[in-house]
Amino acid sequence: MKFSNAKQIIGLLVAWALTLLVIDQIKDPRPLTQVLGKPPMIDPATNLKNPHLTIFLNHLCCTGCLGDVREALAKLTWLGKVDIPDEQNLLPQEKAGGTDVTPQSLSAYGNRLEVDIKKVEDVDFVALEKALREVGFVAERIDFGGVRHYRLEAELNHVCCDLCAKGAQQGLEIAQALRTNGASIKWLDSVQVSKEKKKIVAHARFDAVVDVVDFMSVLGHIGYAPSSLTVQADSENPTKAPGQP
Amino acid sequence: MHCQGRVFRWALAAGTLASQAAFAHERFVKHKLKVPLHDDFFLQDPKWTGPLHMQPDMVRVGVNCFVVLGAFLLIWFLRQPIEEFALNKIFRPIGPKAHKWGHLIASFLTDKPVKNSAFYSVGEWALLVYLRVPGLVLMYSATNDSLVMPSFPLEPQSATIFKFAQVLLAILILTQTLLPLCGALILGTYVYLFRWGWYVALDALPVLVVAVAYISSPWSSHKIAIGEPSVQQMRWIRVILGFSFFALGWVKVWNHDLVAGVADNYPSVLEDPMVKFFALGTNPYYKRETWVMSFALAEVLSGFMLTIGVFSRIWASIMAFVFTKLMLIDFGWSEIVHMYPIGGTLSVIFSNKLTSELDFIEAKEERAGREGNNLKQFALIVGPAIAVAFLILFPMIYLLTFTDRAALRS
Repeated sequence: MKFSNAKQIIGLLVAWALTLLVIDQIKDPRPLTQVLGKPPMIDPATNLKNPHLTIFLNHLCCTGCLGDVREALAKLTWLGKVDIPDEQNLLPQEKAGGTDVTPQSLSAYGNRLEVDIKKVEDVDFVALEKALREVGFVAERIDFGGVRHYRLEAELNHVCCDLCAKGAQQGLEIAQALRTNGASIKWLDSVQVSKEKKKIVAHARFDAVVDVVDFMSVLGHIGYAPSSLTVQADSENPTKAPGQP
Repeated sequence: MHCQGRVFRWALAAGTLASQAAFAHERFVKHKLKVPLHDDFFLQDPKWTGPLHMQPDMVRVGVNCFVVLGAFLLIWFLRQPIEEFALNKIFRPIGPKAHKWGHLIASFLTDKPVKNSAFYSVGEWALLVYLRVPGLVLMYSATNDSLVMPSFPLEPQSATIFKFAQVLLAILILTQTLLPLCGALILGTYVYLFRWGWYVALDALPVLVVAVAYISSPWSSHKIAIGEPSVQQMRWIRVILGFSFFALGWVKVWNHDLVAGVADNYPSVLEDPMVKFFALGTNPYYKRETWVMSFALAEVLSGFMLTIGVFSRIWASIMAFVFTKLMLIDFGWSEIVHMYPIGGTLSVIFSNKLTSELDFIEAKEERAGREGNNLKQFALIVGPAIAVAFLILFPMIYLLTFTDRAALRS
């Protein structure tokens, strides 16, 4: 039987550690001082990279639809510029009425909007969904991203007892466990439910993109309708010791 | 008891490892303080009436722990005459069966080989658990976006590669293939963890316990049945396991908010009898602070005992029990990482090749006895017990009162 010797083990050990470091550096480039030293703390000033939304609508076939969607989004002051990536190919409303116009597939009716966010602190996804519904649209998916570290806070009108709070906590944990392989809720790092504040706080993984519609459907699935769903990108104010400012 | 500490250290490590420390939140195990601790309890202050400006209740916990540690060391040095007395004066008069069982129990308690077929069989099974269970933890971590243990989150950019690497390593471990390579990969991953800070690496020390057996296995490990670890292997397993708890016990005193935070969220952990015993005679006003102190010193004590090989089976049994309870009852899958130390402790409990680091003192003491130098023999029993217990506890308690914890809250 052949056994390993110190040379082999040290060689493999060093090679493997270097491999991991190199992969880490290639995939997530950082200055050497950060790689070898203490990981940097997130500076609140740089936490907001480029907050934005990608809204997927299964129906947005012409400039008429776009006009209504723009009108709905304009009511939300925290939203910025609204872009539609292939706006030049969007049919004008007057042409879309012609009998000779036939989309090539069902998906050709849909479209995607890229929307900037001006004020992260004012974001409310429930209001966004409501605004779209009021003009007759439903978002299939709303991807929120561009913030490195944040949490979603769902305000609930109804949390009357400890069981309500436990139900929300366990329901989300089960939903996360069940859907992990489906990847839709993989952004979720951890959940806290506060009975006193009537809030569900969902911590997103670092740099994650959240499908807000999916999250609201999960909340609906476990029996909760949030009155607002906001983004908190600030520090969580760790507990101070007595005498500390 | 001490084992509950893994929760705390992994919770902290998660906060340290994730680069978003400024916004650290409660991943897996909740650990936020509900009420702030009295920080000055742990620090130097002229107002304290304890020796060297230390808080008197903190010193009291230290004294309680000192008494227990000293007593265990004394009993260890005197275990031979105690065993002979019990066997000859208590068990033998009852009958040969009682004497045989008394002998087996005494051998188990004093870390001697236990010559019993059932013990051997369970030992063989425990070895399999020890060798293969890390594969399960690695698999679980891979499916939970983590590295090595669930509380070390992976960076999204490199997560896929790290996850596949872990799965590959897990398959090698579970199929007992190329174990020396597995050992080297575990050691290499451990070295890589330093990239995330010394604390993370310290936290992952128990993971190394299994690497010892892997690197000393043959390359053709998949073709053979691996037998009981050798004396040398067992010594490494015991020392690494013990030292990691010893070191992490001290870290708990330093990072007291984290420990108290878990207790605030899981109040049942406050009810541990051993930890309560260490807090005897302290002021109830500082209940949470003295609990943190006693909890940390319980871990220091058990870790130290295992490191030096004093009643290894007893301490390893306590650890295995508490780890299992925490994983199955208190915290669930988030603490599956307990499988690493459970495997290590099982291999210690069922090993018949345990040694002690205090053998050289016992050899001197025995020689003094044979030479009829009773005073020297007495000094060699009592002196080291008191000196070791004192030096292990008080200098470090004192030094920690000078440490600044502000960075932990930034």
